[in-house]
Amino acid sequence: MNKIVKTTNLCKTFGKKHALSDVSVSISENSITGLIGRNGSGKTTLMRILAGKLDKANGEALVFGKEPMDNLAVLNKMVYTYHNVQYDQNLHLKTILFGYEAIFLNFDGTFANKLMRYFDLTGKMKYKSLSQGMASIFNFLCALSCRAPLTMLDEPVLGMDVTVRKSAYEILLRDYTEHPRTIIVSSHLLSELESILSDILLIDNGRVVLNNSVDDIRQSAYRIDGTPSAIGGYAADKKVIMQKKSELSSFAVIYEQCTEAVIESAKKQGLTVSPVRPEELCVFLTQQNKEAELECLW
Amino acid sequence: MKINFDSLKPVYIQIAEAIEDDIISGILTEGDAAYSQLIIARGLNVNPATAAKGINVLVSKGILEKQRGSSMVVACGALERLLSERKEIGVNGLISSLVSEAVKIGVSESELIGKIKNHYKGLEGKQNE
Repeated sequence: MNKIVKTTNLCKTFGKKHALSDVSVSISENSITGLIGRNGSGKTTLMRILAGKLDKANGEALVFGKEPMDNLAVLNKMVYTYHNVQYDQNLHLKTILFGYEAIFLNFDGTFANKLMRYFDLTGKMKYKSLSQGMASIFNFLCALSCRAPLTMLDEPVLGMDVTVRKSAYEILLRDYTEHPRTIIVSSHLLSELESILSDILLIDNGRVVLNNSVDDIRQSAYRIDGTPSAIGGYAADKKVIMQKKSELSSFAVIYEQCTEAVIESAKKQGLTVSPVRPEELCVFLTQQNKEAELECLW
Repeated sequence: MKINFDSLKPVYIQIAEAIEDDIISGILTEGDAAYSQLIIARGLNVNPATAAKGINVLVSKGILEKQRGSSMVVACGALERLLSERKEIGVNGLISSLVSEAVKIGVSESELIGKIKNHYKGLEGKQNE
């Protein structure tokens, strides 16, 4: 498949902090990729480099096969929105939409207006009068209406209530099926987003932890519950990414392809097997061992 | 159709099985156009790639066939094949877990068979009403 984004050993530092270290990822054409990571893990830095808003330190970042920075041919094909877009605070929403229409060739003004009505926004509202959630909705609908071949949404659902978030995911998926394009969306709410994604890119401390299809990730780990000795025996030669022992429940999370054969063999040893959702897996793969610290809080 | 994201069964397998269920229950008959990738994606709110993976499972099993153009139809003989497969794998699997549960809690073979017979009688009774 055609790769829209390809980075090789991409590095970025802010002073002494390594925001991105050796990031080599590729994103296929017409995929919806969830960019996942903890606060400060480098999600926004990566997006800003891809959007040509930030210079890289080392390595290579190609978008549509070219360096994005100061490259109009590339920038014309992408839209990037984030939660605190700096519009002139006194602008009316209608005026901002005109701006988008002037810049983006594929901008669908009719669709944008329909979305405005759907989300109860009017052109006469001022951007500064919008709440955080409403500003997010407005940025989201602008980005979607651009129908840009590469659409990058940085935390698009920030501040949206749960009802609006649900509509937003549904609209995003529906519009993608009508107008297939490459979408990258960063979020902390992977469990809500998971079903509409095709791929997940998990980064932690500026490094890539996972870059795979959601269908593969869903099957890449499983949880076993049982007696500590049964768990110990079963997990001895396996990669355990999380383990908990207590009187009430003991379990381990095994990082291994969850096939039917695996499930059978675990069951035979008296263990209960349950799935590990991608969101949980991301937590297990990125949490530092803070259990002991947590116990010390009280 | 409903997808359970908290199941050990992969989502695309659940999609494939849901289509199979519709063939078995007669909602889709042989020669009918099957649900397209986009219909499934929109209807279940899943990524089209996942929907396509589910459809491909059925294509490689010969349950769905690609027709000229791009539409997908229910293959000839699909229903019969599904029924025999479910009898073979599905029912055997259920019986194996039923028997191991029965052994665990001390239900004897004849007791279990008696219970199964009672259930069959119950079903017949309902059908006669």
